Amino acid sequence: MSNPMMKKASRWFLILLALLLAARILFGVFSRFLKPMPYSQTIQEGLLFLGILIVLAVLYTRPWVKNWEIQRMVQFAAGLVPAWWIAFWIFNSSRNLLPFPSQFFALQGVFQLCVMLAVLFSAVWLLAVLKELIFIQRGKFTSGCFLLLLTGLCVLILYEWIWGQKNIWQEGGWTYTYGMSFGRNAFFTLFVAVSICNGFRNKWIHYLRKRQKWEILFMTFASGVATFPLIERLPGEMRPLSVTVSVFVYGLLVFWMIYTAAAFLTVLLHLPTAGLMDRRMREMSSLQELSTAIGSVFDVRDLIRKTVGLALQVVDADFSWIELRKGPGFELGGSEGALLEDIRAIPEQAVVRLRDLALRSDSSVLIPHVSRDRETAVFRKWSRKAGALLAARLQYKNKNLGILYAASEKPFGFMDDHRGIFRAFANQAAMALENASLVEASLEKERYREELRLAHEAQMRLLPRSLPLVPGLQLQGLCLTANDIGGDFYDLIVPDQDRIDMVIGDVSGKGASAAFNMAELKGVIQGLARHFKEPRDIVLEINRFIRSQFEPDEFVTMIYATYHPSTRQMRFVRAGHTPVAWIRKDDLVWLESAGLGLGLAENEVVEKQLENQVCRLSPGDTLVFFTDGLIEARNRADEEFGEERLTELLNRNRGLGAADCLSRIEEEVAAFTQGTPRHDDITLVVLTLDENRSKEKAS
Amino acid sequence: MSGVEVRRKDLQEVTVIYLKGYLDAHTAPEFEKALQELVDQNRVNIVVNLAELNYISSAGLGVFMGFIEDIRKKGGDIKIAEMADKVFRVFDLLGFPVLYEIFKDESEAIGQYR
Repeated sequence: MSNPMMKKASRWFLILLALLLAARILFGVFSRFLKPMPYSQTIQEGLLFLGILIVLAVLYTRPWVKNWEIQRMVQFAAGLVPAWWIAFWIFNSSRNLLPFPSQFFALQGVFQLCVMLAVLFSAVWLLAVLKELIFIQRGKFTSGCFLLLLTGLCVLILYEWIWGQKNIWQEGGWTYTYGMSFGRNAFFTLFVAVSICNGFRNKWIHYLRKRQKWEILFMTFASGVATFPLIERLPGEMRPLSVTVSVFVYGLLVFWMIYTAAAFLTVLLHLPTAGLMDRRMREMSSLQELSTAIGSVFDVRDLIRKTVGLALQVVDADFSWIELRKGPGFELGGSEGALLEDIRAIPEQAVVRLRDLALRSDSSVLIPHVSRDRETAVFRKWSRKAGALLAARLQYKNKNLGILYAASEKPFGFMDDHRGIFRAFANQAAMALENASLVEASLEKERYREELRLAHEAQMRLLPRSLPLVPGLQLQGLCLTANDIGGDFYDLIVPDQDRIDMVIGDVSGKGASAAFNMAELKGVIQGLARHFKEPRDIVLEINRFIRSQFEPDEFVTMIYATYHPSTRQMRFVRAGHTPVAWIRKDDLVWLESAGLGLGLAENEVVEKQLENQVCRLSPGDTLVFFTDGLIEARNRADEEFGEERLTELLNRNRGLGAADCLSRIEEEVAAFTQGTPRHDDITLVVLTLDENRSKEKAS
Repeated sequence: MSGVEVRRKDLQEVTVIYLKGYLDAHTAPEFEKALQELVDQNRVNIVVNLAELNYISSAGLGVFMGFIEDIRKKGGDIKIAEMADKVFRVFDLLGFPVLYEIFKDESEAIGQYR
């Protein structure tokens, strides 16, 4: 009772009851000594009536019983009946259950009053519960009808109060006589009519399970039988205490009796279709469960398991299985109720026949009696008994994903109305399957992307963090990675004081594997640089390593150069890599010696191809090493940057230092591509010989 | 960037594969599939016609390398024909002409198997 109004009302009700109780106690204690007070009774009745009126008003306007299950409500109502029997025995004047010793007679009155109030309280609760039941799936007139019932109760009380009783003072107390009269009968008949109107408002029965219906049937029967003798007796016994409460309880018992009887009849009428109703409910809940699964189960295996499981429920089948399309044929996806081996044992002929029917049908295919069907009679040869069969294709838009089957062991286990629901179920399942496979594909993509990200990270970490400082030599390196795939790397090694090795390369392969290969190579090169002097020897060793460690379709292009500052001699080999631009004072030379990518052939072949190139650099000369990503950079019109553009660019920008040269190339390529995503890494290493230093030397 | 189109023409002894478009890491699996199919069917006298190929990346070149050993072991070969200059430049830089026979003309390449 969270409602503040409710709280207020119940508080007032309790205060009222406390006042009544106090009055009654005083009245009871002093009644022996005081003169009879004929109006005290009237005041008490008036207060009680007012209390009931308030409670009924609250009951009508506010929800009282919240979130109770139907079953619990009926149990509660039926449970009140035995409680009232106990109350009856307490009031029973002839066979009092709890006789008070005569000296405490006055106290007995107080006790009985308490019990009466408890009965009143429980009666109000019964009414609240009945209201909830009546209001389930309320119609247009439900509210009005119920109001009429409450009004009827009040009218009954008022009538009884004003005209129905004769208070006669006899020695020691009031006695009441009441007899039949036309008015009384007329009002009572009207009340019964209104009660019947309300009594058949029991839509809640429709939604009960078969088992619950049986329970309700039993409960209504038992409580009806138990209530009937109570109707006249309990109010009769309470009448001396309070006419108001007595009539209220009387009216309510009559209504409860009628409601019980109506519920009993309704359940009885619903019992034959209860199984069917149950099935419909199961169908609905299975469909609903499947649509929930669409949103939550993205694993195709899980989903298949769920689908065959729910298929059993949806058509009340004994076993079900699913076939998924695989290429031109079908593959058994999963089964429930029967082992996969059992399903595989179905004669091929029969499966093909059924599959054909299912694929051709827009609805689902029903074979009510396998043995009588000429086409599928082969099923009889199968070890598992199949009486009736259902099959529906799993179709999503124009795509067939497979076929769903269900079988019942009983002939005529499926009827025509199973077809529709099976079709609907298959459609849902198809949607779920399609959904799951799409999600799986996108997860795969996501994993790939993540792998690429890690590969990039690894690649960046493999690049030299700082370039060695060599007097008289400017060195600049840059690696712009592609969003997608790349295997570029470069490294600068200083094996001894008069030698600096420069290596630039491109590892073929994708994502993580390229990054791994690169990491391996870096280590290998670092080691080889310290053991061998000649680039050619180093490269041949690298080739040997790649041939033994990499996959056949993986290879590396590379330029390995060693520079000796003392002699200004640069020796290098080109292993299938893009040529090197040598920018001199007056011209630009492309150094493109013969060579072969590493990993493409055995050392004997590579050895013959590799040409050692030696050049003596002059002060101010610049060497530009790069990877094919630079000349293959594309603009929006899908044109490549190309060697010509690069040559022109380098010619235009001669005489810049290494850093400026590198940033100029970077700028111009960026201006050319205009933000078109890179499809390959671009790596650049620029080396410039200082002019100053040589001048100093010369002077 | 668009994909690659792989077409196949079966002659008596020789199979010609036509590649059109861009052969890079994304599209290489299609070419791989076509070659795998040929190896499976034991049709190992292969000519790859690259007349309509616009671009080949290292991953695309890798496909040739991945199969050549197998194919040569089976007594076949991959011969390359009708490359555009730009594509030939890539092959040439890498040193492929040492490893593969490259022909200007498809029929010339086919003729090598007879």
